[in-house]
Amino acid sequence: MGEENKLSSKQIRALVVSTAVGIGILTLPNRIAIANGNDGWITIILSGLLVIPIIMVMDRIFKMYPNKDFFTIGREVLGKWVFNIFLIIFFIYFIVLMSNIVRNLGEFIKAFLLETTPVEVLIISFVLVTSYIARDNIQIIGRAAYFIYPLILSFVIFLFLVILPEIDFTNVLPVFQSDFSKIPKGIEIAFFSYIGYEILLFALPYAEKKEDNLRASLTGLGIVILIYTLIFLLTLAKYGVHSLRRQTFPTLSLVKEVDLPGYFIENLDGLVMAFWVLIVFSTMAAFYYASGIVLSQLFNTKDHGLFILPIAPIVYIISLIPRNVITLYDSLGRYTNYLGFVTIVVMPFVIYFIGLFKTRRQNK
Amino acid sequence: MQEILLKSIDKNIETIEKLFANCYDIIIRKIEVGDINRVKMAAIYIDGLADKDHISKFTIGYLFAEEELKKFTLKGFQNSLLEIVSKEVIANTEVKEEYKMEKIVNAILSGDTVLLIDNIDRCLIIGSRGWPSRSIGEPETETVIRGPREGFTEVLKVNTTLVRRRIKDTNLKIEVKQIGRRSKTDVAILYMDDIVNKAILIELKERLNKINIDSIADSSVLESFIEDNFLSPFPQIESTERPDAVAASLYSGRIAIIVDNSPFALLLPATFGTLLQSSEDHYSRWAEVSFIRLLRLIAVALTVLSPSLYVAITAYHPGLLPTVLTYYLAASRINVPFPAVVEAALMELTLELLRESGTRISGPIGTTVGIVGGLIIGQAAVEAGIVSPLMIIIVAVTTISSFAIPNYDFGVGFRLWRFILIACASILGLYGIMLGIIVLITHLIRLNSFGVPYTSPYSGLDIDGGALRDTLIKAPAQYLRKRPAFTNPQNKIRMRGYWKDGRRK
Repeated sequence: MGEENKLSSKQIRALVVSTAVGIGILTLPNRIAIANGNDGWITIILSGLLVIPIIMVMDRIFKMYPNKDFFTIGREVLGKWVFNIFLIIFFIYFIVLMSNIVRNLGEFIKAFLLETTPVEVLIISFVLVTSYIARDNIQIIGRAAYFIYPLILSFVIFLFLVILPEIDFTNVLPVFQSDFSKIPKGIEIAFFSYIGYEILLFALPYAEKKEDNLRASLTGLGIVILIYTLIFLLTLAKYGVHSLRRQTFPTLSLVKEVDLPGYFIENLDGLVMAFWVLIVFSTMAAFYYASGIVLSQLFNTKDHGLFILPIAPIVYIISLIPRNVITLYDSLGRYTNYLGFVTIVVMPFVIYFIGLFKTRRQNK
Repeated sequence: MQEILLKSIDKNIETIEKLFANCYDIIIRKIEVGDINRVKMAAIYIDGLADKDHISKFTIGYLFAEEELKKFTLKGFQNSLLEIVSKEVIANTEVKEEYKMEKIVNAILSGDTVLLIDNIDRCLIIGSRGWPSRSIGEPETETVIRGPREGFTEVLKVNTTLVRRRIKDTNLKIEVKQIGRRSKTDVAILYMDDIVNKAILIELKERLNKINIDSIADSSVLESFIEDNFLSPFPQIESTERPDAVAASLYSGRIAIIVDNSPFALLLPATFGTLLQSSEDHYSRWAEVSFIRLLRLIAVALTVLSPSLYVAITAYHPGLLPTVLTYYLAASRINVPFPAVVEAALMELTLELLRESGTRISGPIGTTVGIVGGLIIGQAAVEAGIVSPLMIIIVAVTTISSFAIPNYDFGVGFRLWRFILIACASILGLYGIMLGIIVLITHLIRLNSFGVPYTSPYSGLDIDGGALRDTLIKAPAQYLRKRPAFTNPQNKIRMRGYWKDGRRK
């Protein structure tokens, strides 16, 4: 009692993992393979390492201004108006990101589970279901993340174990053969598949043990890197680079290959898709909550629950703008990346350096 | 109304008679004591609530028999007559003085006997509660194979005694308060003073004090008034009939509430972990208990999911099953005139009906209901082609697994959710089920029981540290040195050593 809105370090770790692992995991191996071929795992690890300084800066911001939340710090450092512009960008980013997520989800579900159901129904039902949790405080989001987190891990371990007898690791070779000038292109793809750690901006001030924040967040990031690398290597070893380039959803294809001994369930991909809805839910819940918080800060209200339901139709409408899956990547997907770069890379660094400058001057 | 006792016994009796007008069970026995100076006295009690033999033998009998009192002259000793009666004459164990009318009436209504003496504005309240009650029997809803067979009864005193016998420690506190403006039900709060989390205790007392209702019929009524979220289908307070379960919970820092007239004690805070434990878990061997605890989690999943999965797979995704099974399923449903959702809803509702009528009617008619329902309806429905045989199996599995959940109310919550999931499955197939599960998970995650997350030990808070070894499985008692941490108890260590500790290998 009295600590109703506190996050444990375990929950922070789970938040990083469950928010990052979402829609990307189904298509990532294919897109990386197209860009970097056999050496894709290098780009996945490299871009994961690039996230480390960003997380460190986020942690530093909160160490610099202890016991203040992100919004108070932002207003103090940047001034009210500049920070509000940042918040608007932040909000647009979350909206576009969520629209991208739900559209992807809808399209996948339509393709693999419910062929005849209109995608609009799939999208709006998912948005409404997630709005239930988004009205709550960060503690509840953390609990949800911690609930989903073991499911993600066990899913990856399960996949690894059942697919292990069928793969050929010679497919991973040769290493270091691809053109190194193409690495930045791959990094661009892989870097944005780690999106999700910006939830730390909202979560870290509520941590129970602030000194463990950095370790917990980086452990979470490490687990995400491990999961992505493992999935990439598994799909690569199973299909070989040429075949992988032609598989749009290699992770799902991998699941299709699984033959459980005893034959009780034949097509695991349907079940995995259903299961994957849970994983997307934990991603979506965090972003939905964050967008509500940002909006309530813009309007200077204390309760963010009011803003959750009005966000639903916005997300729904924007998610329906791209005409099909192919344009989805070029429109919503690309905008997500641009906005994401501003909000999660530029903004923390700007706040950090200006804040550093200001505190130094005060100390003098 | 007269608020305190007056000196005149006649007026006092008149007041009490007025209050108890038209109450046939009130007994006012007027007596006169003393040879020289006769003093009027009156014993007042409620017939049936007070132990008549006890009063006539040790109170009235001794008043008549005491030689000194007979020769006693009133003058000069007026004020101490009450004390003399109390200290030297009557032989009852519980005696106290009182002068407020409200408390006197309350005492009479609770089964105590009031002794009024003329010319004294105080009276004696003699503890004489004794009414017919059920003897201690085996708990009906929570039977164990190995373990004590005592269950609570309807009498508060008996119930607290059963707990006290298991905890011979002055730190076991039993606080009693009356709730209900009219029913004045005694409610006992039991806790271990040096283990319990005081914040939870304070919160509980505050919630109890805020209750303003005319009657508390049963502990379940009290439960609904102090719950965190009364709209939820899941109980946030555990109820039990077993004194050993109460004692074990008190030792782990939880609080118990025993309500008079109810054989069910309340335990709080309750979490997902505790509601899936039965008291037998403490008595059986660890390997068996670990296995059964995993089995219970599967039972929860089966209760919630199996009918909706049937609906989703037959209606939307027959391809998920192996080809042979799909053919079999299609063949078995070939004569069924309904879509899968109607079939499932029909059978599940029938089964709920059977269960309900079976619970209300016990004995030979109940058995008939079981036979007619289980054997005839099931068999006939399949032969008539209304439902497929697989559906019958699924209904049976659902029901059996719902009863494998140790806490009845908790199981009911999941049983209700399966109907929501059947509806979801019929609209959006497997995706609909997942959406339903997301809502269920969200609901469970949002719930708190007195500030403790309901999903503990799966909430990820630090209070869950090491809790999985006593919730998901049960490690041997030698490894469970700490008390469960979800209540954040003051005293954390439960076991300090056993014979192997001192020895080196």
